[in-house]
Amino acid sequence: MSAHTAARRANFFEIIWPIARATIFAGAGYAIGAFGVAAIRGGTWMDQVSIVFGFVIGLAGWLLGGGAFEAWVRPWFGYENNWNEGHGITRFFRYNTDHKVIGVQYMWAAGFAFLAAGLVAMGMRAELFTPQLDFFTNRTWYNTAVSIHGSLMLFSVSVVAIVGGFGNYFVPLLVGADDMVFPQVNGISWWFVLPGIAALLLSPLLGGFETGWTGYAPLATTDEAGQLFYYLGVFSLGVSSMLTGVNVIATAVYMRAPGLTWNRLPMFVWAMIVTSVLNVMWVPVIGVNMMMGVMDRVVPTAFFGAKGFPLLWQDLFWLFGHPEVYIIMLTAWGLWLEIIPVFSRKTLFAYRWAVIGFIVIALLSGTVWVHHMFTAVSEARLIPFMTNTEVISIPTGFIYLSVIGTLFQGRIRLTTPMLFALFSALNFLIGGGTGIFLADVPSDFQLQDTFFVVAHFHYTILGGMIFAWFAGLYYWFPKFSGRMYNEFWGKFSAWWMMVFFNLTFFTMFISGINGMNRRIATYLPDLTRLNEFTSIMGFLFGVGFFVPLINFLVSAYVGRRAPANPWGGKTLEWATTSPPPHENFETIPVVREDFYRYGDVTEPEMGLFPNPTLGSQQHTTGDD
Amino acid sequence: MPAPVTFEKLTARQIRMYWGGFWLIVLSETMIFVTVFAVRFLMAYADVSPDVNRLLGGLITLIFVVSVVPAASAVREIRQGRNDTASRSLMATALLGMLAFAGVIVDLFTVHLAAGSRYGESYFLATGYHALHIFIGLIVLLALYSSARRNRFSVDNHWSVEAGAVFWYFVVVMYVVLYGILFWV
Repeated sequence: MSAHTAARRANFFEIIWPIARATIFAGAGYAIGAFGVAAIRGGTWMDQVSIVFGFVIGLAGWLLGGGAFEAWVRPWFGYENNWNEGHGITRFFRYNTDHKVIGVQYMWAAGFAFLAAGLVAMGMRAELFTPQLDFFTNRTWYNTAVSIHGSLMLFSVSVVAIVGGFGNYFVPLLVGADDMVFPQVNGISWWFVLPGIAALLLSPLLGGFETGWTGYAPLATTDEAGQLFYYLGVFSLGVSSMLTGVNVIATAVYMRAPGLTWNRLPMFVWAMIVTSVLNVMWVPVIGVNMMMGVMDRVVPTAFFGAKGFPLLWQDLFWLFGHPEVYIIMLTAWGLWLEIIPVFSRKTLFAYRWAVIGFIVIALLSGTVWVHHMFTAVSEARLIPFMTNTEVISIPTGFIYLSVIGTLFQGRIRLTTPMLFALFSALNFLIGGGTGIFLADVPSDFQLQDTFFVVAHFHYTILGGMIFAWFAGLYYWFPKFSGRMYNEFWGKFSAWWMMVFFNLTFFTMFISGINGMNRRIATYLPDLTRLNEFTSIMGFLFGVGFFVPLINFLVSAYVGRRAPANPWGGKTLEWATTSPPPHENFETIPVVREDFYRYGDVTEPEMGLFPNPTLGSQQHTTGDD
Repeated sequence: MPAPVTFEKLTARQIRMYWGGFWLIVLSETMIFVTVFAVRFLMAYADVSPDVNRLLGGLITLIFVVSVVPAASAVREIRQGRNDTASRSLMATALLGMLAFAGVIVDLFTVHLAAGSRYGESYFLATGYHALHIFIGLIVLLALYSSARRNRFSVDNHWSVEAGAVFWYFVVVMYVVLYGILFWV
């Protein structure tokens, strides 16, 4: 593919200058905002008000410098758009409106944040290796490390990697469209991600923040000014999620290829639609919450302080925060159901039920948030939210029904993507199963704020979503790079990560039950052995991520050329070349049959709605 | 919102999908105001401070409602491809919007409300968030004005004007609701 030959021709300056220019503009904007406000109202550029204005104008400068001036401001005011979208590898580091490029941009940003936050986690495990404080100089820095790890992983990896990366890259391909509905909005949405990551990573410059990724008040109101970067960074990442959500829904609703009825929509697209509805509805709520946090510090209002109503923060945070769990997981489930039929060579089982499961989960996800706050709320709110939470496991069961039914009697090929998808399903099963203890009020009172909770959500998010992300990366790597990855090292990384992931985090269940608290740098000496074990396994697990990193980087240049359809998949992205051309398909494809009909195709089609008008002649078109 | 600036005819399908996406943005923005107004009732119940400037608020509301008239005529004119008159209507809308925006700023700086009081913080949250929307709306209107001045719209391609007008209606409606909820209730 020309990307690789062009990559050698593009010099370093060409690659770096849009981001360099954006950084310079951002710095200039920050200086104008911070020093300007300081000059107008008195005070210094390190005041909280100055910081907020600095960030906002710096963000504007970043967007303009990144290409929004040429590609947005000029056409908006009636001039020509004279932005050069680049070629080859330079495209991935500048404003670009091709959804495939944006998808890769999201993936590298998420991958960068993942590595950064992962390194921070290694630091945390180094601290917890011994019961006393030794790795970090004081507790504040340990807590800041916890906060940065959590915030980056949740807000800039979990909700960005699959939704932003695969969502942008593959939703138009899977529905047979040539691009998103709003390519310009899509182009700008990615530019909100890096400022968010930068704000979270740079928060130690302002003293860090100790609240963890949840930003609980009233601690947040007395915290260092680094808390401001948390509010503003999360807000910026939220804008990106919201814009992506709008684009994905509009694309899936309006740009489907002829014949691609709702009955036939690929599972990943269903998952992305449901996820995006959650994004569009709930991200604004946390945006308001973040702004209230900022106002408490700069106006100052008293929403969450000692005089205020700290529980309101928790309510609004989790009103978004629990749907966010499904924003994270729904797309991972969509990936399972994409990958498993292909490698089982068997028709997707219970398509209809899985889709109903997605939708019911999305409906219920807004009604369960108080289970994060059981120890803080009045008794009247306990039982209803416990019930809702436990009810949500029923639609989740539909997805497992679909997975197991597809695997049953299939001709299973244990390639790397399949391994990762199965491991993800197994890990999520443990994560979900232990969630019952946390949804249950009496046991939650015991387990609240222990490592049991930490282990539980790492099983769902790391074991579930990140494993699914890797499944997707391996599955679609031939499609977006045009090369095959190394299968041996792929399988090796799958087994390595599975083994050490479980050894790391299963121990945390035990230490949690034994009384190991979250967010503490020091602990009781009798927990030392368990923590030593967790730390060593954690380091080994962390090392494992360099295997896929190196595998992908090397394979992207020297891997075997990938055919258009290396896995024998039937969804539309395999109907075009690897990597796809700029307009995706030479001619817009026409869909004549369900996608997930592998193996014995004498079974009736399984649409979402029973459709008696579909004649039986469609069933005999056969397995390719 | 930003349809590409081209002279091509927008197909019915394109217009349908632009609207579909745009209404999602409006839905998302509505969620912001739902949250903000919910916070107002949660923090301050239905109390209204006697210090709020109902007269100024009423004036701002009036200016906003009046600004709908030129916005609507801009849409009507651009549908007939009349860029020149539409640009004048857009400028009229923007001027009224700036007047209202100035009123909001004056109100924010003159109102005698303690920022830390239950009603005061809800007041500043809601008016502040709305002011941000006025600001965005004004940028949109000025951009559209500038484009119309350069004859960028045609009978077949003027979706941005329609969307910008709808965004402005949204800002106006939200202010009317805000005026009712924060100044009277």
